[in-house]
Amino acid sequence: MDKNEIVLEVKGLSTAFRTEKGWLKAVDGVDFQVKRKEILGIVGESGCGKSVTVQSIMRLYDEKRTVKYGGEVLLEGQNLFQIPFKEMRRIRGEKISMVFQDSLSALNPLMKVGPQIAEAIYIHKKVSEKIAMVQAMDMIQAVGIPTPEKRFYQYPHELSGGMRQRVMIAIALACYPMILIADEPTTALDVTIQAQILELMKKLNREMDMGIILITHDLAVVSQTCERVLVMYLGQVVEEGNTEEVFCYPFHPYTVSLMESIPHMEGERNKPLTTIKGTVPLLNQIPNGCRFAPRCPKANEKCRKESPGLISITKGRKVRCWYPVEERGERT
Amino acid sequence: MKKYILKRILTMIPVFIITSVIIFSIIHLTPGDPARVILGDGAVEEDVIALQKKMGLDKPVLVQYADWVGGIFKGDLGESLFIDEPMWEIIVSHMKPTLSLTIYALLIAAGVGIPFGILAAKYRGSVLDHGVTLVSLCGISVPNFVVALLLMLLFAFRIRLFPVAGYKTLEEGFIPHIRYLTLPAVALGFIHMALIMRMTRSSVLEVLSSDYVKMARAKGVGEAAIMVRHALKNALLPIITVIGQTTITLLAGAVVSEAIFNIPGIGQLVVTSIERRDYMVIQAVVLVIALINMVVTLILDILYAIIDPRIRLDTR
Amino acid sequence: MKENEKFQEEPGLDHLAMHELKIKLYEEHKKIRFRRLLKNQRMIVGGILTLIIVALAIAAPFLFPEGPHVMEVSERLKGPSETHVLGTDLVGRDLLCRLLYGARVSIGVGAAVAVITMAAGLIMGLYAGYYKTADNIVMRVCDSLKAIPSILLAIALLAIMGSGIENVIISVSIVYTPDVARIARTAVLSAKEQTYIEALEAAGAGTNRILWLNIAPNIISSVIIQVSFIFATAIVTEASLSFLGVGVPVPEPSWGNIVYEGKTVMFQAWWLVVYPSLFIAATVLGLNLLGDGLRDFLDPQNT
Repeated sequence: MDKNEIVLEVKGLSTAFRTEKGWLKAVDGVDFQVKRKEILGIVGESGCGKSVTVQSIMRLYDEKRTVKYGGEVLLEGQNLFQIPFKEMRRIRGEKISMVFQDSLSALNPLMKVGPQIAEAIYIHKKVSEKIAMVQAMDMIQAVGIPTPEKRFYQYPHELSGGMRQRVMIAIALACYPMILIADEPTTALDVTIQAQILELMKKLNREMDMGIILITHDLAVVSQTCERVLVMYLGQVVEEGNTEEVFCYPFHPYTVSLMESIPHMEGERNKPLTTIKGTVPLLNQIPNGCRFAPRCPKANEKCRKESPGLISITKGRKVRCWYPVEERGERT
Repeated sequence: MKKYILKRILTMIPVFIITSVIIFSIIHLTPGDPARVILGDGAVEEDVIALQKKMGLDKPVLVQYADWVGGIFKGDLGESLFIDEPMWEIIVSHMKPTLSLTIYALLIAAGVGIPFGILAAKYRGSVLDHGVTLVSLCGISVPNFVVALLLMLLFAFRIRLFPVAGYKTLEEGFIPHIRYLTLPAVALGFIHMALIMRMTRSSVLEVLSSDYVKMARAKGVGEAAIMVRHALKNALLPIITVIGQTTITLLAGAVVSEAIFNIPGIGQLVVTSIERRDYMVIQAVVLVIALINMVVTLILDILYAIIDPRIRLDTR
Repeated sequence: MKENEKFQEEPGLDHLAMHELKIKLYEEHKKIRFRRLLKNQRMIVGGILTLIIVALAIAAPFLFPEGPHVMEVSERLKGPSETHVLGTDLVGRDLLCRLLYGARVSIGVGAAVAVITMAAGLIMGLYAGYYKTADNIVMRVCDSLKAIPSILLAIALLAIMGSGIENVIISVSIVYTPDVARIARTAVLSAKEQTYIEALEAAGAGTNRILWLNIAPNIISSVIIQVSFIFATAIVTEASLSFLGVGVPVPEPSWGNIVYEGKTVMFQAWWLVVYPSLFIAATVLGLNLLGDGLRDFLDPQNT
């Protein structure tokens, strides 16, 4: 099996929601690919459309009333937006599955955790509930929960946050999916537990031939885990590339500011942290031209009038900017 | 679980004590001498003194209270001043029609309210949903005596489908029993149907937008299975609370329905007792209903704990 | 929903930027609030309905200066006509006139109960939420009062006190105060946890000062919402009590006792039951809508 085979390809994805002010595009023309064995990071501030992007891939929004999708989501060449809803259900959990941020509210409080894992198995595989329970027990062991026989029959509120997150991962992995989407999986956890969960995901990624999309606003998490990273701003991808390269030599002014706003251990204590001026505009106030222009230190007339496309600069590096940052080696 | 039930029963004790004190003080601490009020202005002094003795009013208040509460535990609820029967028998014989009526009304309220609430939530924004919202809004705005009178005008007077008023016991046959109780039960249950419908709708809606339902969708669970396995059980919790409150309000609300439809239940007993100033009966009825209320609440709390594992945890 | 996402704190912003963001969000929020008020159909319909009925109640003495007690025995039990728009009752009194004067009584009772329960409930809730001992006493009493079904408790109280408008107000207030106290207490308990209250305590501010100047304004909206529903419920309760003959005594008109009197002849004179019912239903519907709308407006998270 080719390690670099592209399993999931997203082309021009856009997602619009019906609101009091009409249709608002939360995601606008997002393209990316996920390879069979890679971990792809998506970073950006809250509200930049990261979560919407992945939940659109799963088609989790109410299509009858609140949402309109555009573009294509190709899973092994099959466009998920064109298959009937019933078939989509078969893909969810079996081929693409998802881990949510808040494990306490994402697990059914009235159901023991074992059966919640088993449910993911017997609705997809044609096995009895009993066999599903046995497989679920294997799963709960695989994600490294201590005393699994005991935890299996407990309710979510009886487990710790880290254990619940492991249970969610067990549910997501129950059918050995091709793609695992992790939406801020470690945000609600302590730093030590966070490291354990990330380590677990890396291990599973190695062992299970599974692409992972990791969404986070924590740049440290990305640098530790992901090979490639997408930077999103206001519903668009503004920069894409190998994690190390993007972090060391960012092209987009937005990425640069993101990097500069991280506190550094070795930095001078008295030096103020750099911040990005202004705030993320609301979705109904999206500027014409480059979306980052109002907050960009280098923006000029062209930036404010014309919207730049996502262009390849070097191999595997893309950026959405008229004047990509060129100074190299300035930061280490 | 046993521990939880025990703890729950223990918390009932202070509530019972204070409730009994409140009921007792309503009768005994009001200005004026109850005996004199009962007999009216033109009463002879000897009669007043005799009645005071009969009601135990000549003893100190605390002794009166102790006697009364002691009596309750011996099954003695005091004596009616007018009906020459043991208080228990008076209450039990009047309780039968009231219980029939209450259960019937509860079945109507829950039987219509819950399914329509679920459907309205599932098909949110549909014609059915708007209809349900409208009916429930009207339902909670119309007092039950108004519903009763309108039903009577319509279904007993214009269209002679049901008897205007009256009562047939269960012994006289199930069909007539039900026939006589239908209009009163609908009138009584209508508001509660509206409440249950509203509660069910919002509860199911809330559950359907929860993270664990989203998670279930992401797992690939079908919509029907989500409803059955994930949504309903969770949505049931607040509905149970409403049904608990409903049961007891129905029992008390039966007073009005009974007065209109001339049903010889607890309500009629209360109304006639007020007219005759038979305070002992009122006191006993209020106490019995408060007790029933406490027992119903206890049962529902236990039911709640059975469904929701998080509640049991609190007591460990 | 999408807007709310933006209200969260954003990483990579310092305090100044955060502050700017908050001001912007607050202004945005105010705008949304105002628009929500205009869009709040329930509140508008409810408000108009309530206003009309209150206006009619106020206008009663001008429309019928002769008062609600004028009898024309020759005109008894006449259906709606030009001279008597809604018909006449058993002793020939004009129904519309009695309904309008009845509105003064019924709405008056409801308003009085609303004011009393709000004041009493707020005081009880504030102190119960703040002091553990007070909490134990107040909440036990409230639990016990609630153990007796409301209509039954009101009937029992009135049976002893005797009927009359004041007694109706007192007994119905006793019945519903625990509801307000409970809501206020819960709100105080959560307001107490707020950091700024802890800061005030640490700074040595007096308890009464904290309670009335800092906590009370924060919990008032949830109390007002509850009270608006009690207003409606009190009208229904008064009507039910008067209908049973233990509330407002005849001949003083109240919607409940008009139905009570009309009930005996309702098969000959349907209007004596139907019109008062409509008045009650319209008022209660109006107040409930107003309450719903108020809740949407004051407490958007809860909807």
